Amino acid sequence: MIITGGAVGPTTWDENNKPSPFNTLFTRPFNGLYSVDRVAGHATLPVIYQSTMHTSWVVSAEHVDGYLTLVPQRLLIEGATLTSLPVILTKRNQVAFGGVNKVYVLPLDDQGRFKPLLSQAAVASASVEALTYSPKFDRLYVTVEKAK
Amino acid sequence: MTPTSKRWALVICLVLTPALPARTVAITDEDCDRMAAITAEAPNLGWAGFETGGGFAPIYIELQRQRAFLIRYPIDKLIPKGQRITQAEWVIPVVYCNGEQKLYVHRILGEWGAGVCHKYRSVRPQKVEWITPGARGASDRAVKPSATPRVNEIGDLVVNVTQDVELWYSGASKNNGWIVTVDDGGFLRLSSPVWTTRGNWKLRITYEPE
Repeated sequence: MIITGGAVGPTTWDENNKPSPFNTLFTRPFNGLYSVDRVAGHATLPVIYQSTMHTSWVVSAEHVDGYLTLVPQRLLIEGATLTSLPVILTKRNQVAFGGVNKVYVLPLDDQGRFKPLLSQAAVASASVEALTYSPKFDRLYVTVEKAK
Repeated sequence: MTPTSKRWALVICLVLTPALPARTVAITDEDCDRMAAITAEAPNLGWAGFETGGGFAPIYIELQRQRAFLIRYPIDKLIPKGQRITQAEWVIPVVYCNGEQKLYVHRILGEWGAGVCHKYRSVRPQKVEWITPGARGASDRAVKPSATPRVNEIGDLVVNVTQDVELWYSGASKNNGWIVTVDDGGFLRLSSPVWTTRGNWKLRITYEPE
């Protein structure tokens, strides 16, 4: 089973279900405009996270063996314009998102759902697209513009 | 005070005491903690609302043979204690019907949750199968339907669910929500609560102090 980002929400690709291999769950209100979603899975919990590019929408959705289930949790990060995929900070149980000159971090509960306690940091990058985490060093890395 | 003046005092008191008002509250699909669109055609899927060719996506909730929609409204914290439910209306948004259709609304009896689909009522924390796949068994859902409205036009279908809400509010029955089907081989297309029109599946509850 593969879960990938789509244009209206995550799409699952179920190779064992030949009659209907591609299934989509809409995770945010559709306003007539298609966007690009980026998804990332939690390392230990059956939850995926989604950021919708150039919007403020972030989503957490539970899955069972790759099948998305129940009601996704949707949040708007006020003022954000998201530009990166979600990056899970496994040791801290947090998820980070890149945006315009900002990195946003949301804590997760023990079920992997967002806690609405946003923290954010300003970074010198007009579009934070490259964002990664090292569990070994428990650090989040972000590319920034070289200081002149 | 003479008996007559006592009577007058009581009458005045009753006139001046305002009747405690009934109150109506509404919640929508945006407040729901559990929803699923299930079908025998994709027995492990929890959001099989509409067939897109090569798969499913909940653009609509299409009801036909072997398909069903499950929804639970968390009314538990909505109504304060010590109230009497006087009316509960459920608004089901119909977007297409081909001739008169009969919709069946049943209370779901068993707890359902993560992994709910045609085969299972939950997969976590443990795998539990429906008695009959698609939640059609006698102990999957109440034997007697809560309502069987006839649908012959598009628009908001208002279903009287007062008895169910009373049962849940009083604790006589656990609130596991409803399952809606068209058991007679009909076809009905309902608005999807996760597409363009969120908040259309409304539950309005009127209550007053007991």
